[in-house]
Amino acid sequence: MKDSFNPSIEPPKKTVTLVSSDGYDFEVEEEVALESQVIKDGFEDKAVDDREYLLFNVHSDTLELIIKYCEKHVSSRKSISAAAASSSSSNGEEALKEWDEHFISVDTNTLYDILMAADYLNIKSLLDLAIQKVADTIHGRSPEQIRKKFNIENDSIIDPWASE
Amino acid sequence: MSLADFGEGRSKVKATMKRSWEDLDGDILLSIYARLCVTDIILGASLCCSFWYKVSKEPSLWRDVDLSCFDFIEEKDVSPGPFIRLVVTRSQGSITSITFPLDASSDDLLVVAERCPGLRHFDIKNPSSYLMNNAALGTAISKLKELEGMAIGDHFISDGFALENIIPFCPKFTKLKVYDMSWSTMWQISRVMPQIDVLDIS
Repeated sequence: MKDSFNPSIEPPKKTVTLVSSDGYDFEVEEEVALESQVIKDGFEDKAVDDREYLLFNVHSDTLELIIKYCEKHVSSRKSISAAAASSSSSNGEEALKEWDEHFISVDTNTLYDILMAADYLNIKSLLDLAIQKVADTIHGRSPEQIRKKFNIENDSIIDPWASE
Repeated sequence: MSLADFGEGRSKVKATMKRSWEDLDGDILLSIYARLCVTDIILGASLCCSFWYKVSKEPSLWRDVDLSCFDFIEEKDVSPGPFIRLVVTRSQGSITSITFPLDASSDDLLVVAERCPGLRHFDIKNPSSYLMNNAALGTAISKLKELEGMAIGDHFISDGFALENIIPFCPKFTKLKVYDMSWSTMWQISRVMPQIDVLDIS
């Protein structure tokens, strides 16, 4: 009870360990890990000292990016709702959108890795962001230009006029 | 420890790994397609490889198609008629709502009416009467038993011919939008179509 009046004493932040496919440990705050719906599902049933997740499909390079994204979104959400509570004006959502845009401006290999990881971990906002980026990259391009951009092999000659 | 500390000394195996965009999960590819306009799918993405082509045949992608995007392509390799046929073929007849490009012709409308029997709504703004005529519109309407509404330029219906076909052939028809409606058309509508629920003259 006494502690609650002393702002300098905070409970230690709860953390979760994420292990990448190439064996690296990432210790992140619980609320950051919970951005992943897959981790969130069944999280409460897991023992507190057993909160370690082996992410067989996510390489450390990608996991680092994913964590960066989740940390940013958790902290932005807090500052946006704090601004709303004190009814002070905030351009938090606009700023986050810009941050997202910058975050997803990556080469197509990295985009592929983020897309796969966001799908695997079920982080909906990130999956949406990556899907939109792929769509934007395809927009206005010819098949040949798309193949080149995404390094896709032309495995057959398609005849779009062939009837079904 | 900050995240930056993890970056040192990690293997670089991944940098050379092949990313298989051609084997993308079908549901993810469908979500990507859902955010593209029809021209990007038909003339671009779906022609990249056999899997991307196969996924583009998913009927749910083609329920509601807006072909007005075709008007904005600057250098076209294909004219509106063949383009519309490509869309109809790819949809395998599953279109329920279609917005035609500006240069659509009578033939194009008849192809859609013939091959997409479940059509519930179409939109033809077409400002010229050279390409499409009232007789074709009347014929198309007579084939569309599921038709619930249409949006159309005034000159197609000002003589009342096409409207008269709606009553016997399209029992579910309740919504009509007329571009640049004239007084005489309004009179025709009130004369032959008392069952209209929604009349939009914006």
